[in-house]
Amino acid sequence: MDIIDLKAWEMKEKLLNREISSREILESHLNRVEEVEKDINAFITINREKALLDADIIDKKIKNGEEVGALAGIPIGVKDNIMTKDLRTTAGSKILEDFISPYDATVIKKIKENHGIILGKTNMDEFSMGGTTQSSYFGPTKNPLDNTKVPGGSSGGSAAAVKSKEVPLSIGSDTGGSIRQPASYCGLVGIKPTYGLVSRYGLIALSNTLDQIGVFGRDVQDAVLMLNVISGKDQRDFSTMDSKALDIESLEKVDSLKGIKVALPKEFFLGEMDDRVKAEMDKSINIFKDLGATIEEIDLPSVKYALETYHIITSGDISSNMARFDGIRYGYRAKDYETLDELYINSRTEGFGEEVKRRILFGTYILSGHRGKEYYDKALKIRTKIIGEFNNVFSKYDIILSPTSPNLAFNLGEKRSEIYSRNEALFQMPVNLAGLCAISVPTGNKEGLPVGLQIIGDRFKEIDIIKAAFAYEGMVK
Amino acid sequence: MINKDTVLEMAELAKLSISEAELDRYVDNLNQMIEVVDKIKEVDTEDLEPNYNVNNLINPLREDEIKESLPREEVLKNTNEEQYGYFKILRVMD
Amino acid sequence: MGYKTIIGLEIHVELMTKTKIFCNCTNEFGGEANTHCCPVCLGLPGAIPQLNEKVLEYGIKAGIAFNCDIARKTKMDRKNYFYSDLVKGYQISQDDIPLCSNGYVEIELEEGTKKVRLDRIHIEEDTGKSVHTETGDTLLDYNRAGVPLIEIVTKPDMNSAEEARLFLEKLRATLKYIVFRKIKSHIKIY
Repeated sequence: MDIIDLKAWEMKEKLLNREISSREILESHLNRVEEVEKDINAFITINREKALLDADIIDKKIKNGEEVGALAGIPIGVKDNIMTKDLRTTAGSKILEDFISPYDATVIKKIKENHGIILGKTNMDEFSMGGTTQSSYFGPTKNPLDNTKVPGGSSGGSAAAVKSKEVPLSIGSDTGGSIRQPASYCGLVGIKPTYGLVSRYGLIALSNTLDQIGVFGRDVQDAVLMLNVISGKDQRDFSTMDSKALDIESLEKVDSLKGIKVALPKEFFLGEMDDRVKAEMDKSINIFKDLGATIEEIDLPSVKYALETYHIITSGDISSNMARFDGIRYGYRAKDYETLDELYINSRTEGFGEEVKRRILFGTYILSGHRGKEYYDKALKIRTKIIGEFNNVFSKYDIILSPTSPNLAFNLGEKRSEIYSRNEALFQMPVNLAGLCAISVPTGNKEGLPVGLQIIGDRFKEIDIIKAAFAYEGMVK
Repeated sequence: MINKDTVLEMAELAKLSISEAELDRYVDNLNQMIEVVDKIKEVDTEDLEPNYNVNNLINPLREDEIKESLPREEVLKNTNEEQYGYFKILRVMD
Repeated sequence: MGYKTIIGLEIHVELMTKTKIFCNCTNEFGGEANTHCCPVCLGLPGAIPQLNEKVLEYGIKAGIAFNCDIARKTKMDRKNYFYSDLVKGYQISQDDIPLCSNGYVEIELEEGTKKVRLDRIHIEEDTGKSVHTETGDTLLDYNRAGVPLIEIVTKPDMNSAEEARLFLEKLRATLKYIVFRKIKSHIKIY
């Protein structure tokens, strides 16, 4: 078996047993990048030289019998909207094409402290605005399972990099599904943690009260390995909280879900979806029953407005968050300008792609004048309603199930049907609005493109969704 | 329904320029988005408080202790033009 | 028929805390350009503001000193506009729920004591500074970006330049006890 076929936790085991070296692990992945990257385009920047140095340092530590961290020797992909010191951070945009951050995001600090090796920065929809990674200034990423299909987005590069075995682990960000959906399209495990579990310090903000950094892995154990490293209260991000969310040490592989109460929102299961997704959902529900869980249908009426609420809040936030990109202190500056106004207008117009401009304009519109109350404030009130409804559900149930997406990965360059687009948002956005945690796990289908099952948990109850995911994964392997 | 003038007004506020050729497309797109979000007008939010942050953190404050700032080279390294340790742009009328 | 003079004042006061309002950079005056900066006060992507507890404390003290109502719940808001000394394209300030509201400052006139009412006192961040060169360029220094300010807004209760002067003197004399540094005032004539 090739090193790249191993899971991350298996690589680490072999490294600590001195069966393989950190350099060997890294080189096998760099070779893989050489082999497939031109067809996949998962990366914007490859950190080759520094990664090799890092690998050598780890090998030295092991040789000297020193302690090494939880991610020792593991090559990692980082979504390019997460600040990495001395390594380009572009957000998939021309406006940051040459930007080199002077600081590390907190999650990067944690990865480095745990001796993870950053192999490169992964491709993404420009400023995370999109669901296919096609809006990247650096070209689209292809789904490794089928080069004619999208890998999903906006963290498409991070997903593709893991599926193609260029790295065993990667991190991305999820504001309205941007980790879970690509995980589903690429047949991976993707986790969007509870809002406040992982620090956002160093994550380029899209919508400050919805964004979370999360993980991709080829199985639940791998994903949890990474999640464990990046979680934790951060004094640089006041929205983080201390929590015993993971308590991984005490987690034994679970093979029964007896006593677990599962809720199936009618709004998620009665919506239109691809036949293959429907079939996999039916099978999955039976698997949960076989595992001993009790399943009940429930109503979740306020999710009907989740899409609109999400768009109002995020667009408003976007129009403000994007204002700092003006070409003065960093980023693209237009060559021709004669006034300060022209410097702003030309730099921003030339530097931003169309989708970004569209959302900025829309956000500006809904925040201007009286519309701020009509739209943004009202959306915040509907958000209260959505949160209340989920609190109610979780007072009676442990987890919620849904399809991650109503469709499979679709063709590059094509537009999906309205209804599938809408339903995908319906399944994913409420999770961010209510700050809940969610994991997408591949269902058991061996034929054709993958389907994802989404398991949603209450805030800071990652342990519930991880246990359920472990048990489910055991049954479908 | 918004028209070209509104889009141009928003563009001015957001410091973006939309060409004549693109304008129709942006007007259509924006109108579509407005049509979608207008749906929230039917929701009764009379007795609801706005939610500003799911965590409802009370007084997340920081101690007034000095920590090291960034070295100046790091502060300036991404700018297009600098002089004497300052960021430089053309003259701005106050 | 003559005109009646009606004056309201908007005063910005720099607080003498050790650090800036939203980050741990020093609040010390002076220093070489751009040497008191960090990702937060530079507005780098990904930076998150952290409110200085002393700023809140001084803001409340000022409110108490001037007989204000202190808000039980308050929040920070963004004032969005573009200018070269404004790093994020917005200033973090307070809009509809200021830290302190109402209140008054008493001044001694010949006729007796007069109450100049306050509208509000709120906390906010200062912007950077620009320097203009002879060669026609603008140079920007962000050492002052993020310096903590309180903004004091009066109602238009003053009726002469003399009253305004007395008001400012009384204000300054009171604030000196609460550790402030610099007071800048803007006059709004109604």
